[in-house]
Amino acid sequence: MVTKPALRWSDRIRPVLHPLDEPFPPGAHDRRSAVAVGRWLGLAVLTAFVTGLISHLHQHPVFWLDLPSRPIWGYQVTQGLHVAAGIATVPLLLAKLWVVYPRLFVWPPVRDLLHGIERILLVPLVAGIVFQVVSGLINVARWYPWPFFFPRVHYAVAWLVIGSLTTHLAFKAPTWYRRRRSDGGEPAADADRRALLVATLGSAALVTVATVGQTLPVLRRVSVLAPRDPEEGVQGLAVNRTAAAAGIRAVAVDPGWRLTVVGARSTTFTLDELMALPRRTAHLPLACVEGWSYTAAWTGVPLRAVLEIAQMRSDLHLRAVSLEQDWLYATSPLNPGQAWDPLTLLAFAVNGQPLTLDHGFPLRLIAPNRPGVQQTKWLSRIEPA
Amino acid sequence: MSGADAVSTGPTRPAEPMGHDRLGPVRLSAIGLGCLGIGWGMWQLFVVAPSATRPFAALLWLAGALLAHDALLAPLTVVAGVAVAKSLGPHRRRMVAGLALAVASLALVAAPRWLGS
Repeated sequence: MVTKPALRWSDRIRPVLHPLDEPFPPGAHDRRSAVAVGRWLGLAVLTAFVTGLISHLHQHPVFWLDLPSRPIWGYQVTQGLHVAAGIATVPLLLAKLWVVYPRLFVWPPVRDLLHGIERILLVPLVAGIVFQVVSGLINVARWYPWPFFFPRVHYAVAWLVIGSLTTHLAFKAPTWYRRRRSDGGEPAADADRRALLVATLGSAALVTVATVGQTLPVLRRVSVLAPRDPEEGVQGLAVNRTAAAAGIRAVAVDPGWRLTVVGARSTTFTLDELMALPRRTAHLPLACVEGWSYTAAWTGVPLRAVLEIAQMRSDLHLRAVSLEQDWLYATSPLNPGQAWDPLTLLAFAVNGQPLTLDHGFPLRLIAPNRPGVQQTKWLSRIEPA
Repeated sequence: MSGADAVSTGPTRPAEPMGHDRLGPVRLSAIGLGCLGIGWGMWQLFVVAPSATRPFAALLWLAGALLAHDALLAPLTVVAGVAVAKSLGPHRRRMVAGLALAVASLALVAAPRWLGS
């Protein structure tokens, strides 16, 4: 009655795969398992995609959207989620690909034009999602074994993945809503499918707990595989870009250091002059693109105070400029909302101690809801962008 | 098996052929939208800033990712599974397979840190 395509290669590879079916027979490679695992994988991919877009918009602002400077913990949460979702994808992806692996050998490989299109679009989907997870993990480990600029490729491939995932779901929609009456009802298959799901979700929970302490302080001691310990570093706070790496030691400690604010009445400040202005201490997170974060008590002068002195127009997009030269992130953009947020500080102390060189002495930017790489250290100028 | 067929097709509904029977407007639009997404990704990868994305190297990495799984990891898992399954009963196999997934996941998550340092 049911006309199924001949599965010549699949039939042949089945007996080989069969011993692996055994742990979860016979449900481990059926449609319901594919849907059940795929649902969780889809959730992780969508989370990573949306939070990744937010991070991209932070780092590549668009003229038609000024990101808000609140909530304070916004980027800490979205980027923590981004990396956590990416890490949780590892077991979800392994399980999903394992479930559908026999279908790679389906016979005939292409039944008709539509089937061919459907299968061709699996190439960017599988290649893209494996690439995103692997390259993301490698980048989080601050290892750069490729010749391209990671953020741009990660962004481009994210669109390949989300696009081909959309087509995949459209092609597979009938499988999705038909799976119950096509595969259901066999107690053995149901039990084995449950075992597969337990192993998959259990592994996802395991890798999450093992790493998420890099942004969730409660789990810091449990997360033995966390890529970073945010409390390991000078002054008990992690540092990515050191003063030595930035090559700014000499200029940063130069007594002739000044902060220049370029406005209608451009003004230069010595550190003493800044420290004489009304100061503010705020608990703000430093949240890195790599997913780790810490919250510290930063003390400094609100940026808006010096902007007022320099008579800066309040509708301008600004740029914070570091002493550092020739580095992609030596300047960072500030939209008007970010620049005039009362919690956007020119900080000279952290946790009650003067900033050390590695944390940006003499002066660094620290603002709410912002990627760590844009919390510009060793400030020298604030100017219209 | 007639019994399995009765369960799988259901008593009241006729059997339907597998695959993409009718592509209605919703699914067609979703496919169109997905292709737009792929197009935007390609544009970003190949056109916008090729000096930064290095399209050829990026393609090699993408192909490598695909092959690393489909031609290496998955077949190795098949082989390992065959080897292990012979010496274990069904109950133990289930536990070993679950453990293997957990260990492989942890190893993959931890690997870049060791390989890169």
